[in-house]
Amino acid sequence: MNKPDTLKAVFCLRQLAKVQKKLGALYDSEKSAVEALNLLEHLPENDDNKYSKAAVYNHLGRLYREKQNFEKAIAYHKKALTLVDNIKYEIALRNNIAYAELKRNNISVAKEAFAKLYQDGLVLNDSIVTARALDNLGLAKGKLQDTSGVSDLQKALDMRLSLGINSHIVGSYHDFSEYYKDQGNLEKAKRYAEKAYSQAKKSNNPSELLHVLRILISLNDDEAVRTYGAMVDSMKTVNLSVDEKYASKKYDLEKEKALAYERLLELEKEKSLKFFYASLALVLLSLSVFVVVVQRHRHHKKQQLEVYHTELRISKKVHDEVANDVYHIMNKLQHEGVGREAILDHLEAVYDKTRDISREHQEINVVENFQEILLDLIRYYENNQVNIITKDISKVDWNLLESHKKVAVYRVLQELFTNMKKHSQATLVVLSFKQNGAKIHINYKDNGIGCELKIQNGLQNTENRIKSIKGSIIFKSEINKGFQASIIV
Amino acid sequence: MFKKVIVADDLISINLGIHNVLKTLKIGEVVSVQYCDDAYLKIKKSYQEQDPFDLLITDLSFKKDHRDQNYPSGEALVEALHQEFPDLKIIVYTIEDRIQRARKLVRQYGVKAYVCKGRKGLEELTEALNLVYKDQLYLSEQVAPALSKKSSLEVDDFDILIMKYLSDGLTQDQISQQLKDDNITPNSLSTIEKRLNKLRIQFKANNVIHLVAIVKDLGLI
Repeated sequence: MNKPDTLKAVFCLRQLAKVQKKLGALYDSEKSAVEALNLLEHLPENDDNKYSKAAVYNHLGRLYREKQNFEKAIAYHKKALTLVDNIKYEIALRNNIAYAELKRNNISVAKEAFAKLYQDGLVLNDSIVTARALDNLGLAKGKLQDTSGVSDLQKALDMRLSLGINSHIVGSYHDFSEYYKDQGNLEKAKRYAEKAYSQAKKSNNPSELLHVLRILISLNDDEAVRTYGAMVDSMKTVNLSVDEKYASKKYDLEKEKALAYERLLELEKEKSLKFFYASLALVLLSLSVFVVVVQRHRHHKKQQLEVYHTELRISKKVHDEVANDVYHIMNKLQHEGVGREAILDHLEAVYDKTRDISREHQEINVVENFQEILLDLIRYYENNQVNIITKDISKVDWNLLESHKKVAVYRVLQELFTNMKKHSQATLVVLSFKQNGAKIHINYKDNGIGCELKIQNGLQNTENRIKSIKGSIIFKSEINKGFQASIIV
Repeated sequence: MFKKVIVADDLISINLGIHNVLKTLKIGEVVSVQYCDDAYLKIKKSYQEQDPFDLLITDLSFKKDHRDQNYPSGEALVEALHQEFPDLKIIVYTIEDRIQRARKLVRQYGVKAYVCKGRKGLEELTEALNLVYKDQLYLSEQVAPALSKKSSLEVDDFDILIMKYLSDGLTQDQISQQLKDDNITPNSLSTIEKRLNKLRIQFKANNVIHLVAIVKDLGLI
């Protein structure tokens, strides 16, 4: 419900509660009032809402007074009292509290309260309030056997007579009667009761008449009549408590119903939550499957590409290095006068080249002692022309390096040595190693003729290899200044 | 010379070459096979008949074809034979020239000779046959480092240190003194001289001054 609707609902509930109370449906009235209160809780706190709340509390207090539950009645009235700042309402509420105290037989508390209300009435110069306070004060005094009560009652009656409100005058006569009844002066009590009765007949208000008749009956000389009155009263009380019991059962049942409904709602919620989680899991699962498939596909593609590049490289090499040389030999053979030895020499060179190509691509077993494997590689490239000097190769812990990284290191060094042998004319190579935490630094340097750095083919290949294992490689070279490569893996 | 030899190689032309070599050496019985499994079976049979082969000459790599093999490579064959018939002499004759492979075969599987196919392959094979017959090992030049104890051209911190002192202008006497002062051993003059000689050879330097220049160029000091 939005706000204006809520306000309207609260108003309607309050009216409903009033009607229900008048009809004697006390339980239903209470329910309506509580519902109104619940709605009010959700509204912002402003003066109007505060007033509405106070009115509902007051209503609840009066309901409980009707049910003879004075304690609760007082509590609700006091609650209402905290919410009002209008003096008129405040006085009305205080009067209600004092009246409930009186009914509860807390007579001296009631007397004090009425005395104070009387003073306030004087200050406010409100004769209705003053008269009511005085009347009640007199009644309370009477119950305390204080004879000064009679003058209070008289004063109140005088004020009411001059105001001329019939029901108030009836009230005064009634209270006089009750006062005298409490004093044990049945004669006078009866006289005032009859006065009240005749006054009440003027307005012919049934509830007033009933009220007056009750006291009149209780003062009757005939015992049977008196007993009848008492019986009616007690029957009313019994009915009230039966009603109350029934109401509380009905209330319990409704509570159960509400609880069951709530449970059902919770189940439904749980179900939908379960469904939500299930679908979330499903979505995540399919997403991860999708990612895995895509990754795999990409990996596969990458591998295929790598294979393709390798094949391309080998085929180019075969074409450039082998086929050209063989063609050259064929050419030579077509010309007379070429010695057998010369042809053999040439063929041997081609043979070596094919061996080089296969060596570059054959698998290497890095499971064994990797330092030994590297030293073998170095020994292979060493000959009378070139010395390859190593530094600190034994200080490196190759076990820290994963297999595929070892392969990369091997291939890169192989490529560097091959380049050195083919092009550099170097006589000295220094290969120094350094363990730096988990990283291994490898520095290659030769004293060859050097070159202008153009990263292509072989060097490009080494760079790709090192990059693929997330290492780094830096080349440095100048004509006649040798060639240098720094690798970090 | 050997009396009964079996040759395993899947290339007939190479088989023929080997046959020629064996013929010149006047070896009586020569059997050729093109599959490792055949070689294994024939050798096993010869042992059962108490007329065993003296020698196996085998290639390492065999082309795979329609026949499934228990021993797909020469290495597998050699491994099995070494276990079962340890006194059978084996010469590996192959195109493969990896030092590692040669070392493994000679050290672990008791191969007597490792000959690389090449221009001089058959000459080397002849030499190998003669040596193996005399119970000696033979390795082709390419794979010779497999067994050589020759230390690699490794330089250590000590080498670097004395070259550093040299480049700082210290004489060999002064270096010796300096090492003594720093509590570094060895520090004798003769050790320093020996080390410098070794380094001069390693770095192909004509004299000590040349050595320092070379080492400096290479960025070692």
